[in-house]
Amino acid sequence: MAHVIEWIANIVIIIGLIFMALGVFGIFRFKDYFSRILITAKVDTVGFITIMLGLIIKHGFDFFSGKIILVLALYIITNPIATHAITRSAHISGYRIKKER
Amino acid sequence: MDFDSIVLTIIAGLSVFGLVRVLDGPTVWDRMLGFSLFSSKVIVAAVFIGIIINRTYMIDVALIYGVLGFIGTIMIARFIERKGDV
Amino acid sequence: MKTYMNALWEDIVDNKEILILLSLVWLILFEELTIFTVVSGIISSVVVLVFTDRFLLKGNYEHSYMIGLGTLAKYAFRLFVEIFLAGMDVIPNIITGKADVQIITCETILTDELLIDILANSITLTPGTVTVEKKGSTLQVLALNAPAIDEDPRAVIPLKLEDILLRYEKSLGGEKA
Repeated sequence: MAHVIEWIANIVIIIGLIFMALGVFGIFRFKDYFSRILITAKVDTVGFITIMLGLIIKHGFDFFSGKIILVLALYIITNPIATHAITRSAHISGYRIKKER
Repeated sequence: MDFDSIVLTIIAGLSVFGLVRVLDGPTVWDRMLGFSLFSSKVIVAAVFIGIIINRTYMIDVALIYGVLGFIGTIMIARFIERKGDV
Repeated sequence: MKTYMNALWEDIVDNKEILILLSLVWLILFEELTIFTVVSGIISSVVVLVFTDRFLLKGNYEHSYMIGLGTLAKYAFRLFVEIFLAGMDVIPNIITGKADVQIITCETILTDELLIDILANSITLTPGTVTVEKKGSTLQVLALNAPAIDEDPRAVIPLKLEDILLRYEKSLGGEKA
């Protein structure tokens, strides 16, 4: 049973790594800033959350998982604020795209 | 070499690409995007180092790094948004 | 003195969910479950709570700004599901390299400031949409795969999350009245 749980956790971590690699691949794929931040940074966040969930599954219910949950909660609260600050700064400073409605 | 070490190596490799975007980015916002990507990789790497050496204090390091990266990004974004007048 | 103690006790009873949350964080940071850590955790959370309530923020903020633990857990679970579904949606765009980015103006039904902020942050957290600006209940959202001009612009908002927040806002209004 312990082996089964460990294998499930490893598979979840590998899925998270694939998401993170896609995010890093996307950062060199797109040409302008807005499409980069829309796709790349957010897919990277999905990878982060998936890897942390895999670690929680691997360790079960103890203080180590509790600390990982703290890190995860902090990241989920702060990451959208940082992304929003960067995008708003770009928008206010006059970085524009063609279509707007 | 076990599973955790392999994952740590892959994450370290990915973080190098984030730094390439910081050095290379055409606009300043691309550089900030690369920096936020790099800091998320550092958080994951710190947690994995904590697992490999079997100590929990590395997760505290990850927490502190998250706070510092957040404050840095917010302050630089604000600095650019107000054109130097913080 | 007696009335002061009574007011203190009322504060504690009103904010018992915040107290539980803070004590839990204290316990996790200490990594041990003994009588000393439990008692010191509860005492320090009460001190933090009273200091914030009496000194930093004046007025009854907790009645409008406290989201219950049940709502929080349900919202977090739903948020994870939405994030994963949106992440799956975005993958073909990364592989083909096509991006059709637009800024869309749309309105939410919510009126409470904090709830609108939470919704805006959730929109930013899901892949494919980023909130650029918020004025009242009007949001400017930068969206990939945007709905066409004749379609409803509200399609960029994750409607199920808005639904949970809306139900909470209604219960809040009922409590006040």
